[in-house]
This record gives sequence, C-alpha cells and structure tokens, in this order.
Amino acid sequence: MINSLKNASYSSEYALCLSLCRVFICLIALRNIFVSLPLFETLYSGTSFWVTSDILYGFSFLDSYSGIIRSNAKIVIFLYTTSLILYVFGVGRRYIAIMTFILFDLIQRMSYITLNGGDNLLKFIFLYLCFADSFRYLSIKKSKPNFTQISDAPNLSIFINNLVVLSIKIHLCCAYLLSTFYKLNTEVWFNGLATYYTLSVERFQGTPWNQILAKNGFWVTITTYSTLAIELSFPFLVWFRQTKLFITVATIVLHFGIFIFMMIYDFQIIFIFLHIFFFNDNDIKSLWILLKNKFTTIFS
Amino acid sequence: MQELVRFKFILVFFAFTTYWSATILFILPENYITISLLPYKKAFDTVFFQKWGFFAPPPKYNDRLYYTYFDKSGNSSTYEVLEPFAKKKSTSSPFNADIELIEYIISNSLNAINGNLHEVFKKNKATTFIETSTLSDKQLDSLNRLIITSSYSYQSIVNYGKYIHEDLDLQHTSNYMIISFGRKNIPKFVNRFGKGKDLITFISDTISTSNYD
Repeated sequence: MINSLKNASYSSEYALCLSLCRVFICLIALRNIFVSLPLFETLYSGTSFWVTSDILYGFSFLDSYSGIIRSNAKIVIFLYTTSLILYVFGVGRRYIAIMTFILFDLIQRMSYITLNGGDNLLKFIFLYLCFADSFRYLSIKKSKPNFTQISDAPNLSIFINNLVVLSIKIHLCCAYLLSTFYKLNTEVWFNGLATYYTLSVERFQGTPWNQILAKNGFWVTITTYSTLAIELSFPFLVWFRQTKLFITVATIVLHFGIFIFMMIYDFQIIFIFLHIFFFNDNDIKSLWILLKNKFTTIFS
Repeated sequence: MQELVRFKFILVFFAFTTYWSATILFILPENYITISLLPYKKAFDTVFFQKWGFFAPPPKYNDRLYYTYFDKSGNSSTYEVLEPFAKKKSTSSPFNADIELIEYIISNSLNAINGNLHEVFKKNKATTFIETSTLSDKQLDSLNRLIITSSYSYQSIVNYGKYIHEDLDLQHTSNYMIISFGRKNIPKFVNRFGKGKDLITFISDTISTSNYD
C-alpha cells in the first residue's frame, strides 16, 4: 500500500487519458448547451411555462441571487460557453478548469429537471479534473512531461493526477455496484423480468423491435440477469489484467444496448468513454496505431 | 523543506480519503448510520449529490396527462400530451434532443406530483395507486390539496396547459380547462400479449386559461 502510494508520486501513465477526457467532457457540455438553446426561455431565463425553485438550493445565504442569475441567463450561458471553449484548448489551465466547473454546476442547477445520471457523472468529472494536470496533450500550452508523467523525486502534481484517475475509476465502480444493490432490492430485477418493463415504457422506445423483444421470455430473462451480472462483476473484475478486457467489452455492449434500445445517448457515451481510465496511455496509443493501420489498409 | 513536501502529500491523501469515505457512506442505500447522519448527508448532497438506481425499479406504467378545454356552452375537447411526445421522440431518434428536453420537463414535473399523490393515497390507507383507482381533486382534504396544487411542478403543468391553449388558438372558444393525470399500466409479463388498464389518478378543479405571466 505504502509502496503503491510512493510509486504514485513518481510516475503517471494517464497524461493522455486525462487530456482526452478534458476535451471529451467539454465537447459533450458544448453539445448539450447547443441543443438546449432553442429552449432557452424555458430552461434558463424562467420566463416560460416551467416554474422552478431556487437555483442555489442548499446555499440559503445566496437565495436572493437566484432571480438575478435567471434574469442574466444570457450572460451566464455566454460565460459558460466561452469557458468551455478555452478549456478545450487548455487556455487558462486550472483557473479555467475551476471556473468551468462552477459554471457547469450553475447551468445544471438552472436546468435540473432535465438531468440524468450521465449529467451527474459529468459534474464529478469536471470537479476531479480541476485538480488534475490534463494539459500534457491537446493543449495550446502543453505541460512538461516531468510535471505529468515521470519524475526523479516525489512529485505532488503526479501524485494528484494519479489520485484523480483513481477517483474516476472508483466513481465508475461505485455507480455500477450501487446500481446493482438498488436493482436487487426490486422484485422485477430479482425475478428476471426488468427488461420487459424497460423495453415496454413508451418514453424509451428506441427501436420498433422493443415491443417484440419485450414479449420474448428468453430475451427478457437473459438480458435482465446479464445486466445484473455485468454491473455486479465490473467493480471487481476491472482491476485485474486478465479479466479487464472482457468486462470492459461486456459493459460497452451493455451501454450500446441501452443507447440503441432506450435512446439514452449522453449517459451511455460518457460511461463508455470513462473506461479508458482502466487502460493507460500506452494502451490508448497502441489502439490508435492499430486502428490507423486498419483504416489505412482498408482505404488503400 | 522536505517536511513541508511530506506534509503536502499527507494533506492531499487525507483530503482524498475523507472525500471518498464520506461519498461511500452517503451514497449507500438508507441504513442506520446514514439516517443518524441525515443533517450531514443533506449538507453533503448540496454539492456532491449522486444516486445510482438506474431503473430500479423500472416504471410499470406509462403516464398520461390530459387537458380538457371547455367552451362557453359546455362542449369540451381533450388533448393527451405525453403519448405524442413519446412517439415523436422515437420517430426522430437520434436527433430528438429538443423534444426530449420538453418531455423531461413535463414527465419529471408529473413524476414529482405523482410522488405527492402517492403519499396522499398512503395516508388514505390505500396500499397502491391502482387500488385507489380514481381520486378526484374534490376528495382530497384541503391540506393535501394545497400540498399538490401549490407545488412548482403542478404550476408548471397548469402553465403548460395554458401554453397549449394558446398554441392551439383556443382563446376565442374556451376559457377554462380541467387537468387529469392518468396511467396506462403495462400488463404483467404473463399477460404480455394483452392490453394494460387505463386509470385516472387525479382530476383538477376547473382552471382559468387566462395567460400566465
């Protein structure tokens, strides 16, 4: 344990993963704000049919600012978008990272009724990245390698980077494990019938086959128990080299299934993307070279 | 100097372990410890709220939201809004983000009211929604009625009815409406080839359709 902690302060294998993650979450957030703009009046300025509570719930001393924030929603959106664009390019580094997190949280509070688990996870990733140096790659002003990757002496920045990566991994594992706890506490998951209901709900009819599959007893039982098995085993199997690839592929298949059959898009993309933290920079680079070679072979 | 560096490492590691200890404690399902630490959990949740019960359990019904508009001579026309949203969302998938946002607002507002209604049904010694079948606004006692109708979610649903009234250009023919909540049950798996029952769970008083602010 102590040795692992010591090693964690000398070298980090996740500089590329962190940089990719920074760009990815910013692009997702930019996409979300872009698609919500047609509903600007409803979601942000509070001048349409949706009646909402205070934005700054939990911070009673700031209650009076809720109205001011809503009436200046355009400025908030402008600042948020600017901050995201700067953050994508690594401008302003940790200062912009913190500002982006604060504005992201504010935007979520303003439009809380439209949030799902993916948005919740995204908020925590923004928070964790405030502490990390994610500017080694894909950044206008790149961090030096000894600041993010390897050092002769114990390096606090490398240590924090490793803790951030560990936090993301633990967060993902907690999400799956807790989800299984809650699911096993319900009758329909326990009895292998849950996907009958999830595929039958009108709100999530991703394909015309949902209704047909929902009526097939074998499909329903297998998919219900497979979901439980994958979610329950992920937090344990993903830490071992021998089982990591298998469980990662299984969870990705599960998320693609939800993506296609239930039309829950961002949520699945975010979860799938975060699996890169269970691999390291070298794995990502190897995968990239492999894909590039395949692509070149196909098109040549 | 070396002591200071070591102190910084210890401080960072302490912050990390404290954060994760608190997070794991507060995201666990309700238990003796989390309930006894409820005030701390509330404070923690203001910034670090998270809950991971995806579809646990999945809904066993599809919500229905009806707006019935009346003209001066008492004739009425009824519009259900959630089913068309669901259909539109499916047909325009994957480019359905705008529809999805509106649908989220309406559905989540309705879910919040249904949560309150569920409490009312429980107080009325009904074990489930289905057993109670229909409970009109007039049957609710005044306090329960106030809890439901004064909520932001209910006001949003009322406003949406006025918005539709305007959108359908009904201002000249009707000036009041009644809102009803319902649900179309998904039949049990053994009856999966049959049809689910339709239930009405709430009927509002008459509401003026004059413009909202």
